[in-house]
Amino acid sequence: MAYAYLFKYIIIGDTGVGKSCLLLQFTDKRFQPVHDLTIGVEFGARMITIDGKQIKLQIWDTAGQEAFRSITRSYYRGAAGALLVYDITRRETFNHLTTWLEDARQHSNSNMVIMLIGNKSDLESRREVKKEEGEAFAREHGLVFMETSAKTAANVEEAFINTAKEIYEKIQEGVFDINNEANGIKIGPQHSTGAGAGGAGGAGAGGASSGGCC
Amino acid sequence: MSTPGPKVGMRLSEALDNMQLAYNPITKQLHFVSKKKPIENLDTVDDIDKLSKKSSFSDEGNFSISTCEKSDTSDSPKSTLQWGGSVNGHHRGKDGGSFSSTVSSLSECSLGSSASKEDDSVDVNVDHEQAKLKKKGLSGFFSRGVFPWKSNSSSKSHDSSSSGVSWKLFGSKSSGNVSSKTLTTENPKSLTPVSSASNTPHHHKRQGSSASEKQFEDLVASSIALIQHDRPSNLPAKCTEEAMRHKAEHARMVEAARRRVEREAAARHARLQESLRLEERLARHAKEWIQNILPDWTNMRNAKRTHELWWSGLPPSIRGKVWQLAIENKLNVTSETYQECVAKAKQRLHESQMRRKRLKVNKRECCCNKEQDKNYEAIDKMKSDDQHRKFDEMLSKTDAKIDKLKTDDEKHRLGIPRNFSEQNLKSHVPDAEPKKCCSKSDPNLLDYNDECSMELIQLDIARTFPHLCIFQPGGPYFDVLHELLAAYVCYRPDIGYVQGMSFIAAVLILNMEAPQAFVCFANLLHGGVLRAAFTRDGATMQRLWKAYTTLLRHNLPGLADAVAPELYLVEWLYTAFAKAMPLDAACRVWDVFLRDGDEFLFNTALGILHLYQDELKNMDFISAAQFLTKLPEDLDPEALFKSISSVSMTLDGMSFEELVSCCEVDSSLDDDVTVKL
Repeated sequence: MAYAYLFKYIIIGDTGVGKSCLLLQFTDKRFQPVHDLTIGVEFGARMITIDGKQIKLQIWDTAGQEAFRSITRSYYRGAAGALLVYDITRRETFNHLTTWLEDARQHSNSNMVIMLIGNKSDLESRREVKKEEGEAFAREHGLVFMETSAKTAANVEEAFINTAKEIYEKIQEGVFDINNEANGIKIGPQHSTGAGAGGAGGAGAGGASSGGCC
Repeated sequence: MSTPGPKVGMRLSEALDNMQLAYNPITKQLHFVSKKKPIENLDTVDDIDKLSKKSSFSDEGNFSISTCEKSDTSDSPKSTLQWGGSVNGHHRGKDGGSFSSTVSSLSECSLGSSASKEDDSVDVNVDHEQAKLKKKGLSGFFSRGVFPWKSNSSSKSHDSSSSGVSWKLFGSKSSGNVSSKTLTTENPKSLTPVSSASNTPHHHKRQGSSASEKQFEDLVASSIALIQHDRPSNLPAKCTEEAMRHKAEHARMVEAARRRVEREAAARHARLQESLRLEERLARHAKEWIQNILPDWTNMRNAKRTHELWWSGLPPSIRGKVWQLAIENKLNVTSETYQECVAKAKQRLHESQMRRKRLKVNKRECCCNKEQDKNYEAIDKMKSDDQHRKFDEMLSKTDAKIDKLKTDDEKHRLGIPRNFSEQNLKSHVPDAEPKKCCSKSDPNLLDYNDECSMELIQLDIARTFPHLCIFQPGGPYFDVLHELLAAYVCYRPDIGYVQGMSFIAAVLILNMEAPQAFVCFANLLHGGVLRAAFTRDGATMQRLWKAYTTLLRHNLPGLADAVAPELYLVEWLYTAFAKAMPLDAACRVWDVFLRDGDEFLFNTALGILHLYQDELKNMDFISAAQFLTKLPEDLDPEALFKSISSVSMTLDGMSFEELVSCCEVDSSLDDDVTVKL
């Protein structure tokens, strides 16, 4: 399918925080209470529209266990966005965020947009991490923060799409060198042939389609 | 869809918008309501339909629409075709006629019809002479909104031209003759002849039709029966030729259904025969294994015939036995070792739960009410003391044994979240003092990391073969798998629990008893690729990886770059294909993997790519990766094994093992699997 850009995403975070469920909710709009264990990496893709442009998200869903950390590291390469997920009902998954963030910063390109996600917001009664704590962590480390529920789909769309919007803005600002695929952005086939044509549909928010691209 | 009539070129949506429908709750039917117009049309007071369209709702929520053309001479049997159990429209010929979409039985129709007779006074019918029906028009009908029923009996003046527009929608060729047949009756009762006239022939013919019904019932020997029913009495009868045609059509449909049933039966029979043949073969093989091979295992193990039988798949009845023999027990693990480890694991799990509870209590009462804290500890102690005593004896024995296994690499913890140190925990939960809890019990007990490992196992068991529904909490194998994995953590704390192990253990558990499964599990993880994977032996993995990539380029040069091994090989190796493949195929792979060793895993990987190379070439990156991590359910083991044997595992006269050993390890890399992306 034709797309203007392709963004590579990576989903990281402790095991069992709901990474695969977030992905499934985003790509298939369904929730599977008992999901297969992820070993190595799994994939998902979906087309979204930002600023009237078709953007393909290519999402890498990684294994969360420490033992796979070294394997996961290699998946960071070429990611434009990362969703760093913890489980609001398990404090330890929040405690490990620093380690994850260090890893992500070290093995990805510096422009990678990282979105912090507190998942399982539907389980309010079992909450161990306050929303404010998540916000504070995000503020401290310069991340975007959001609480989601893969079960009820609350904020799931937003999490993925807002990340894409930020990446898109960075492209417009010229921060990302889109010709370097190591940045996790690929220009779609339609875009490279006629950059101006893409702007025609750009009736959306930003409208600055003539920006950083090409 | 043609919309003939004055307004040429009228669109379907417009026409439908112009159509006025009303639902009568008494007759439970949909009716057409013509727009009221001033007195100029007074002479066209009411219309009797040549063509009547009725939609009826039944009590059960069934919905049926029947549109029919009524001819004055009609005395044909009225019948509606009905698919049992499914809504299905019967498509009629160009003349139009009965269109039935019903899941209801006759009784429901008659309910509607009898009601309509009583309520004819409020029945508003629209007339359109010669208008023919077109079935397509009905598809849009369902999505139309229904106007509230207007029971105003004074609304007898209808604009025939506006109703004409509505009707033209369903007319196929009536563009010329839109003239309405008008009846100068002010009394709506005059409508009743419509129904009453049609009643007699209808009832008359019903018997004949039900007789033929019986006949058809005999013909169709399937749960989906096509039964020809009488047309409800409120509907006009069909003409003879139409009835004949319907009969013929019905017969054709029944015949087609019968043929399909026969075809399916034949296919079922063939499948049954095939599975019988397979079973017979397996039974034969099992006999051979039991009588000839197993009693003389050491001599027969490498016999040609044994290998032949082995390759063709082990019979499930002896699979567990052969696997045990093939894996061997170089570690001399015994059932007792297993029992001891399970006991130890249970105790540790229990303690960790207690600790966790206390931790939570502490957190909640941040002011740290010392008194209460002590109380909780006292309660915990009381609760656990009993259980602890039981294990104490066992523990002392086990620990002594396990200490032997634990070499100086004790500190070198792999596979357990070691970064998540207690320090980390403490900094966030200063009052928790997990050490305190540890210190008062066995100092040898697992620390916080192992506890994580233990809890992780619980989390992962339900996520192991979830589709089998046997490893979920409460499922028959939840405890077995949990105990086995927890026992392994106690047996080899240096390795701990690593995701992927649950699949390996589950496959073993499905084929043998738990203690034997543990023995096999421990030995299986003691060497080769599984050990390298689970201990994160980067150098070994790199070599294997490189050798595999070399062979991949050699065998399938077109695929090597299209689908990077990094996308699928991790999962394949960590679970020995148990996760990606259907279980029966995976067991077949395991048969030979346990006979031939690691090389066969890589051979299988190449075999899969070889088998699906055409499909993979046409897939994009994501689809290919998704395909390979979840191989098709109908993966045929025979085809796979053919593909596996067609792949060359040697290159320039070098065997796989030689390839592996001559691969250079890039020490600059993160001492791990090299993943180039």
